[in-house]
Amino acid sequence: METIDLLKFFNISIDSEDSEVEKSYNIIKQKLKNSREQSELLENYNKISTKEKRYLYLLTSTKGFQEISELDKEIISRPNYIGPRQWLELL
Amino acid sequence: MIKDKMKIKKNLTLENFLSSEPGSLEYITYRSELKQHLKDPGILERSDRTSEQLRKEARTVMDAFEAVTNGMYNPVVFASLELLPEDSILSLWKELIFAIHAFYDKNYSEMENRLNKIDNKASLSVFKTLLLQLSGKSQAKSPNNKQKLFIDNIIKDRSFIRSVISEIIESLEYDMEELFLETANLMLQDLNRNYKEPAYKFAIWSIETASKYKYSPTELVTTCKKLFGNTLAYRLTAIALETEEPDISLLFWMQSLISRLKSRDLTLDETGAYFTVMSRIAGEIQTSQDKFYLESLNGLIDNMKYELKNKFPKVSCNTEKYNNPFDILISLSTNYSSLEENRNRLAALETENTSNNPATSNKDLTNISVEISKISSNKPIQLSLFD
Repeated sequence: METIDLLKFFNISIDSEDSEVEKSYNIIKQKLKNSREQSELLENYNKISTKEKRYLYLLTSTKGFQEISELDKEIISRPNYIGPRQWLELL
Repeated sequence: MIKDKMKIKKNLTLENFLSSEPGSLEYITYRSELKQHLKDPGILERSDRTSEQLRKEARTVMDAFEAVTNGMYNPVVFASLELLPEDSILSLWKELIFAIHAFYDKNYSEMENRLNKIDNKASLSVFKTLLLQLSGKSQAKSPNNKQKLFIDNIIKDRSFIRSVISEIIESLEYDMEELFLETANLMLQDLNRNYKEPAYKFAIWSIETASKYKYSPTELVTTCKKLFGNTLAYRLTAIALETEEPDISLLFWMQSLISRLKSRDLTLDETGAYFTVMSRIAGEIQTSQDKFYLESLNGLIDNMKYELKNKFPKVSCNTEKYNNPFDILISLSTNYSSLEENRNRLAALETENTSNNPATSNKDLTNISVEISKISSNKPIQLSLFD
């Protein structure tokens, strides 16, 4: 799971209070019945449960491509960002 | 002429809304009309008659719109946007922004959920049709010229990237260092314009690959510094070199922290995170025979301690007990980090140092006898990069 996805998954930011992260963890946990999913959730929660851990996660989770072909897949299939002006021009 | 009329109508609606009595029938009507047809949230921010609350909401929407259409993730703005109430004049803009975000994330079910909240008669519904078409969720209708250009720009052919990738593969196959570095450099600059995250991943890949092939990644690191700034460039380089050259990686982590220490917003939590990474690597390396490397490492430790004292004067960074620079880093990590793994690493180090094991007792690197012949003179990264 990517860095941003994990923060998004728990619906938190780097500056969230630890209690908010725990609350979010408990809410998601209640929705999971499967014990494997629950243990995966706990593992992910442990990566971001405190502010220092969240920083550690952000610092180290950017990974390079394993193969250059991954860049091909990522870029070719990714739509371009064109900035706000071109969107507003359609209105 | 038509445009002028529309502009007048837009201004009239805003004027009427701002002039009407809150809660009155007129107010509700104009408010609903404005919500449906607001084409520029900026007018709410610019008007001196708008309430402070509405102006703040408009600023959030504009910031989030700019971020999402430029591919920048801004969690603070997005969190504020999520708090915008359903009945806000700007709620359709909120849905559109999250729909655009979901579109780029390829989360099409979320995109559709968001778009479904935009009324078909609302001005923003034009994007509903276009986003559904772009994501292949609806049949292509005949777009007008402006819409055609918009679609083309979003899905513009990136086949030239494929040709650059082929060139990179070829340069590695035929061991052409110059071609590899030149092409990787160009690619890095091109990616950085439109694709920030892939640019970071490519930077790591290219520096790591250069290191594996014994090419000098100096040029790539210099480009990263220009494109991403020193702190991020040093961090990406540190990540790239962690497997192949952990000793050099450690220097880059330290340099990234030093660069961060000079900025105002660095917290103790982030400093602690840096120390955890550095302490892990230091614990794995433990020793080095390379005189030049040790000089660089000690120099960076002194520099880092100076910056740490300035930034966090209440935290002790006394390391007199240790001479080995790797031990100094492990020891410092317990002062700045609250994570248990750092305390465990220091405890293990102390146990090791007091065990009188001849194999480990001679770790005082200030007395180390450096065999010049063993010094690697071919370090692929120039340490002068840190200047």
